[in-house]
Amino acid sequence: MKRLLAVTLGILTAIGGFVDIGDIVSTSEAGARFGLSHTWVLLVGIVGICVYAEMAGRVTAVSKRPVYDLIRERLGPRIALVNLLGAYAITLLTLAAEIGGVALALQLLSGAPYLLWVPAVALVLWLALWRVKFSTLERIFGLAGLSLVVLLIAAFKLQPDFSEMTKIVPPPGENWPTYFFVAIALFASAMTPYEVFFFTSGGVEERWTPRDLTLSRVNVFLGFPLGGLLAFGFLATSAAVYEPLGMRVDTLGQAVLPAGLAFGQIGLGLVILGVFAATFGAAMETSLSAGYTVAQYFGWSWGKYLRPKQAARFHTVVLVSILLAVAALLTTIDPVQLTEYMLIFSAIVLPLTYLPILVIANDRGYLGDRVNGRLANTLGVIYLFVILAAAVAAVPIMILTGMGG
Amino acid sequence: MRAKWWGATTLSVVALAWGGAGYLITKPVDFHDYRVAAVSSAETAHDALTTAGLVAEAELKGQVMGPYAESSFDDARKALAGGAKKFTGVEPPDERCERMHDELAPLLQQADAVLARIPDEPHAGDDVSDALERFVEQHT
Amino acid sequence: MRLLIGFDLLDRQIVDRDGVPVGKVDDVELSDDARHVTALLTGQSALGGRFGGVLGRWITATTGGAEPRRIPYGLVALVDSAVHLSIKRALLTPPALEAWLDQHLIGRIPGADRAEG
Repeated sequence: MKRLLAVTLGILTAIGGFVDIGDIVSTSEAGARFGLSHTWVLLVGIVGICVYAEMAGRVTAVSKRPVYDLIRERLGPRIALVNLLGAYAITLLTLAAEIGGVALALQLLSGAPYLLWVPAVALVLWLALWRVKFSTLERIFGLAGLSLVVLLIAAFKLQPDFSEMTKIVPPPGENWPTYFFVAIALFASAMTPYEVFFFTSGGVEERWTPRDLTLSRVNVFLGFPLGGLLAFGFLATSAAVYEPLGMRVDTLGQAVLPAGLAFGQIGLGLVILGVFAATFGAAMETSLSAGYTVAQYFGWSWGKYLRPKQAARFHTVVLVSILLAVAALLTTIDPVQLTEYMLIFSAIVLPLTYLPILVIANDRGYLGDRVNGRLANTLGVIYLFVILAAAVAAVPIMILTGMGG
Repeated sequence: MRAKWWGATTLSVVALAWGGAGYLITKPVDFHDYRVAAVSSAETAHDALTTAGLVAEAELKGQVMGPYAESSFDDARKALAGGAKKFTGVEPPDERCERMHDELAPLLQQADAVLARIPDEPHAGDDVSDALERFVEQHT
Repeated sequence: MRLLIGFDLLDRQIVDRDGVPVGKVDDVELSDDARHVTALLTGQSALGGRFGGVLGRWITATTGGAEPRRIPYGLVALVDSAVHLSIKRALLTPPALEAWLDQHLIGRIPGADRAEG
């Protein structure tokens, strides 16, 4: 049992990365408009995040430093500051969207408008981060998020056109630029930078040593494919229900409906519970990551294993970030649209996150004989090119398609 | 010296961006813009009716919870109202657009009327929904 | 021990004997003949000094004008992926911003003094 629970860090990280509120809606939208023809993007994304999270986890287990800590050493303080500003802005806006997502899930359960839930969600989030043990949080939300598995079963019951899985072309009536726009958003959502920052900072909080290398790898190779599989659940159920109707998906309510159609109230309840856990998990992930990135850039003490008094600056950043996120939401900005923009902008900062990880993972000064092997380097370089291509294409395609219109 | 360069570059980028945005905002609406706005309103209305129909049918079968259905109907109402507002907010710039307006405006009104009935009669919106779909197909 | 200051020291994390972060090596102090590192300087004012310009002044301003903390090089026990000190963090003067936030904000919230759980 204890061994089983040791992988909840990877599961939570992956669920927070793959099925956070923006991904849920944009993956469902992809399914509704393009059927299963984006399945390959999910696969490419899963392999990519596995390659880099494995490197990052190895760096952390061997050097006992979270990767963000090392980025400044390798990029120098100036470029690292650009990276910090980009990463922090994206993390903060994602945090706002996640708090909104938790509130939306509560609205679906209670019927009360989500804006009423926002302050309560933010307060519970902050209390959880202030008072509850890291490993407890990880277990509760990582495991509750697994109730989204019901979507995969629903997919088999609802029977989307599985033959589309092998196609890499947009279905009739849709054009290539929009198809690529959605593909970039899905890829960026698989590789969101806060996943590696959170994962490796979590590893340091759990005091990984070189002996935990296997543990880190199990976390990566189990957690991320699982997260990707859950995202596929949204893609497939939405393709089954909405594609034949020729309609689009842009609310959380629409994204969870297929489970109700397949398994009635129990199915719907399980999916909403899963969405609640996944978005709350992602909210924890992003609020802690906001603190991690700032603290690790400046070298401040950070983390939940210290008493809050000993990491006053870190806890201040977390608190202020949550307050800023609430303020952003109370302007009544649509949390779902917010993340759709963020996915595209995060595509732009991806290279600045993953290049230093590749460089550090080849540095014997940090890793001794645990440096990248040939396979890790080949895949790492290939993915760096994919990431660069996505980053360069992101903005022009966004303008060309008018945000995927 | 370098600071000056940076300053000048930043300033010109900002000026260009604002100029571009300003041009796009103040540019008069032409046929193409109007068509895009009309089609997107029609699509939104179609999706709102379809979703409400799905949810209503599921609710009658006991597949979804009451609060869920309520907030889904609410989302549909808001989406429909938002789409209609976007469409009626633009003056038709020429005669062709006016014809398009006269075709879509009654459909949006009907959509609004049937949406209120859908919770009890899931298929109340089907005809309007089909008409909206035909409108979208004709104009894309 | 020979170290390349730019590559092996600058921007590296300083941790105390228990592995608790103390700060980054934001700058170093050299001996008069510039052949030895006499102390590590840490704090945003040291970092701001390295940046220079407007940006540097902004970063320095986040400390409220406090001087960078000076850690004599004799306290360094080991340099690997981090700079390890031979003493506990509590023996160093706490950074001004940390102390201020502890006193005025974080320290006032119930539970600030308890480790997690």
